[in-house]
Amino acid sequence: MSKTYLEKMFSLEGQVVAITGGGGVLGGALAVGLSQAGAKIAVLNRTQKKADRIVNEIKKIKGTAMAFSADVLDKKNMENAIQSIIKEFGMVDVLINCAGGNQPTATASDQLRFMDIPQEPMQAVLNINFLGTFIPCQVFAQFFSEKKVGHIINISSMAALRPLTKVVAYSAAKSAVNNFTQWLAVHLSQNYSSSIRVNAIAPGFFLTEQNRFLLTDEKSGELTARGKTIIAHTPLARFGEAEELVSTALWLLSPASRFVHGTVIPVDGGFSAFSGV
Amino acid sequence: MVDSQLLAESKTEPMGILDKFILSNKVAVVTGGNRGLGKAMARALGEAGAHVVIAGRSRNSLEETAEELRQHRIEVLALQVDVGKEEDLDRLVNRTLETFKRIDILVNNAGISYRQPAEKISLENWDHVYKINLRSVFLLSQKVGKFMIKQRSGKIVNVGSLLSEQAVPEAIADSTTKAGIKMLTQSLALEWAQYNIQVNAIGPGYFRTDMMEPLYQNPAQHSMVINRLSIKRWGKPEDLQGAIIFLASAASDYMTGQVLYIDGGWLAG
Repeated sequence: MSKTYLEKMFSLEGQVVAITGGGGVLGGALAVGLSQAGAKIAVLNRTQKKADRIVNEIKKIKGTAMAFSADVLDKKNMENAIQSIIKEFGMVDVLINCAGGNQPTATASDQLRFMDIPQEPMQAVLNINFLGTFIPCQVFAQFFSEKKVGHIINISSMAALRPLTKVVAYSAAKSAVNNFTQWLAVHLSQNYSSSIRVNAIAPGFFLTEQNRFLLTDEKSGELTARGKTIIAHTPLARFGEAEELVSTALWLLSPASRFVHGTVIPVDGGFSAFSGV
Repeated sequence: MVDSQLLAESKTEPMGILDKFILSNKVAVVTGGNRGLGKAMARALGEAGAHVVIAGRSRNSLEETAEELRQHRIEVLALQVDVGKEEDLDRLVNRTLETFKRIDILVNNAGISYRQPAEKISLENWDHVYKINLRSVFLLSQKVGKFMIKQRSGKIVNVGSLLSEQAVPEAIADSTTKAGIKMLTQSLALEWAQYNIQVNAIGPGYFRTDMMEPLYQNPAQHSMVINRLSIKRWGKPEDLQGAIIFLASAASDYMTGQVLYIDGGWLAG
């Protein structure tokens, strides 16, 4: 009995979810997890091969998914992608902006002083994280506003709430994503429909391709000093599991959350609640 | 190393992810579970499989709510409790443990609202709001927390408010206690993370409940809320049901010390 109630509340049966960066670690986990909850998944990735791999995983568990090669920084490209999604699935209900990332050359370190960070990688990180969310939002908002209903989830970061040492570009860009999430929530519901919702999830520390070089030693796989500091600063004393983002997304996407709007939800093992002492 | 392929393969059953929300055989205590938001949350927890203890002051509404929940095949224990009285809180914990042997989920929902200009509020009223909205939450969390620490698991969900974050006129006692709930939530989260206890809060915005009915019926207040809210309606008690199941279940195991604002976009703009 409880299963039926929960299915009614959290199932995504029949919904079409588009995920940018769907070929990455967290994007891929969201794609697989949300397909298990019944959604049809459009896996968007700049590198088609990575998207294909996730689509194959989903098909193995009898889910429905299709890969789309799409560059979140190219508006025309995103417009083509949404047209293809609608052609294939007849609809799109949800956009999850998971494309993003950091690079060592936009990160201050012993080898690279803050004063010496070049403008180009700085700009690239601001672009992929902020504009790479902004542009897909523009394109999908066009469709959602015509339909008068839709849901956007931006994947922000703990770095947006608490700037992390060294990580200058990424922290600033994700902080812009938080602000934009609130702005867009108000803008879309004031001007188009109160049934378009916009929220964000701010993951704490999950091991991904982008932060692995900071948190674990390349050779031994052991935690770096920084990795150890993070665990010491995380009350739950572990890194997050990707499926813990999936369950948070399911809660946000549920009709039971229709009064949740313009929020940023930290999933961080208590990191942001802890002063560190 | 986390790898998306491994992650994908670690999922066995197609519907596995929804299982994270199941509360079968969990025992949940909901203060103020007899009416309003508490009643809606008790119902949701029960529907998700939990046995539910509802604690409230009014015997009539306790019995009515218990009957209603039982009609949905939810196992219920209804206890008449004034959360302002320590002996009542002890009785609540003891009776729950006698009946169900454990407490997995505590929802500190009971609260009152007292709206008056700051210069007029009496010390007696100030103290009363503090006693119900903050002191009782600390006390009951401490009593239940001792048990959860032994059990090495537990979920505590406090009920804050958008007032935890933002002041509004003539609500100084409500706002101060609700801001206190946010810090109490963070502090307990921090101290009890090591015992596998997650402590979070829900921060409702303007909801139409018995307690808020006077504001809802006041034309100026009503339109102030509607005009400010981009979602253009007041919250309904059932709008909290998804959040309470999320925070009470394994679905939120990596979340602690947070307040989830369910406010129709109030704080966003």
